[in-house]
Amino acid sequence: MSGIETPPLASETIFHLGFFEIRNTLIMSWLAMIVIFIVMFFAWRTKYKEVPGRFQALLELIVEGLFGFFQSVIGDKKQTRTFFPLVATIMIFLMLANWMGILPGVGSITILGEHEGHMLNLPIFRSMNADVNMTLAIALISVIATQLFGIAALGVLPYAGKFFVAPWRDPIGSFVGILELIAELAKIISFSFRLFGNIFAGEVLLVVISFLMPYFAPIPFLGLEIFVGFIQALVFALLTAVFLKMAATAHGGHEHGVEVAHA
Amino acid sequence: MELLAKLGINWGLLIAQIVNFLIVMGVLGFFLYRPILNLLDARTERIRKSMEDAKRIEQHAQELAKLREAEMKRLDHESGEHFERIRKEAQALHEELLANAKKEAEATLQGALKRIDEERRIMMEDVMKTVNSVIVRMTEKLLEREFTPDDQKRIQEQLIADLPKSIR
Repeated sequence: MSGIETPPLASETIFHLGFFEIRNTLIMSWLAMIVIFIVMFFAWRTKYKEVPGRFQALLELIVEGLFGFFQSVIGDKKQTRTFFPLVATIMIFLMLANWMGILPGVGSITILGEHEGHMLNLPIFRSMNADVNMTLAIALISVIATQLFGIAALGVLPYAGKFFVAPWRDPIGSFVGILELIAELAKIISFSFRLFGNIFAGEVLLVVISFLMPYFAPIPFLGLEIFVGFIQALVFALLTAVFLKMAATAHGGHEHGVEVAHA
Repeated sequence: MELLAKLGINWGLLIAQIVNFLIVMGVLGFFLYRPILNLLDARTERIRKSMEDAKRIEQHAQELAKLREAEMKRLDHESGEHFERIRKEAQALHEELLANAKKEAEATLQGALKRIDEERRIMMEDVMKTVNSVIVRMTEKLLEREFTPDDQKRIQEQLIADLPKSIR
């Protein structure tokens, strides 16, 4: 009887395209994209009508539900309309990828290949978010978008004033500004490792449970992973929405920033 | 750096995932969010307009109902007046007709009574003549003699005087 083969932290390279590594998580992200493109193709082919059919009604339900939810968080319809493509895509793409990660075949269909200097059975498909590259990518997009929307809403100098305050005018504000700056950088880490940790832990959990009791026992954990996949996508999108709203809202530090900028 | 290597961070893959995400966002934005949100906005706007129209129509209907009520009241009042006037006219006509009928009936009655009296008088005269002649003849037969016109006249006068006043 062989021991438990838990997935490694790093995603596995399946093949190379020139110098570019094609990893199993990238293949999964392509599959998720293909699913989205197929749905969008059907949406484009059927055309949106005034009186919706069942497929259009489903799409309307999803978009309207998400929009209503994010509007309740952001509070302003116009701002929600601006932020919506980003936060809704985070929600949809992450949730779909998380759910696709528990499909049969993901992690179990393997090919023989080299990983970290060892010849191993490498899974062709691996949950997209069980790779720090993907979670880090979305975290970077989220944080950079937050800064850009903040600058667009407040202007460069007032927005910079949130972080850079003259210490001789307001020592506490200056210190808080540095903390704010660190917090912005910490967001990238917290965003990416929260999602990665949850999905990777889910993968390990399923492998362990499947090893210990291959039949029936993993079913509740699959349900749990569906829930975790939804919650993690929701948390990522929700936090992004909240940070976007905070960035685009002038607050106490804003006036200091203007003063410093003009000083 | 060792941690990054252990986590399998690969800058090429990172950029590829960023590009993938941006492509998905673009596709969803172009084929899903924008058209559906525009559609929903248009639908909301149409519903809002319909609601406003419905409200305006309802207000108009309420105004019409008020107008109708006022008109009904006015007509009711007018018809009441008309009815009263017609009732009074009918009453007057009725009374006039009744009075005329009474007058005519009275006249007819008076005429009839007069005619009855006249006929009674004529009849009584005839009766009296007949009775007189019968009495005179009977008396002549009893007495076996003929009366003179003066006697006859006297007997007649005496007889009339003896008759009850009602039949004289």
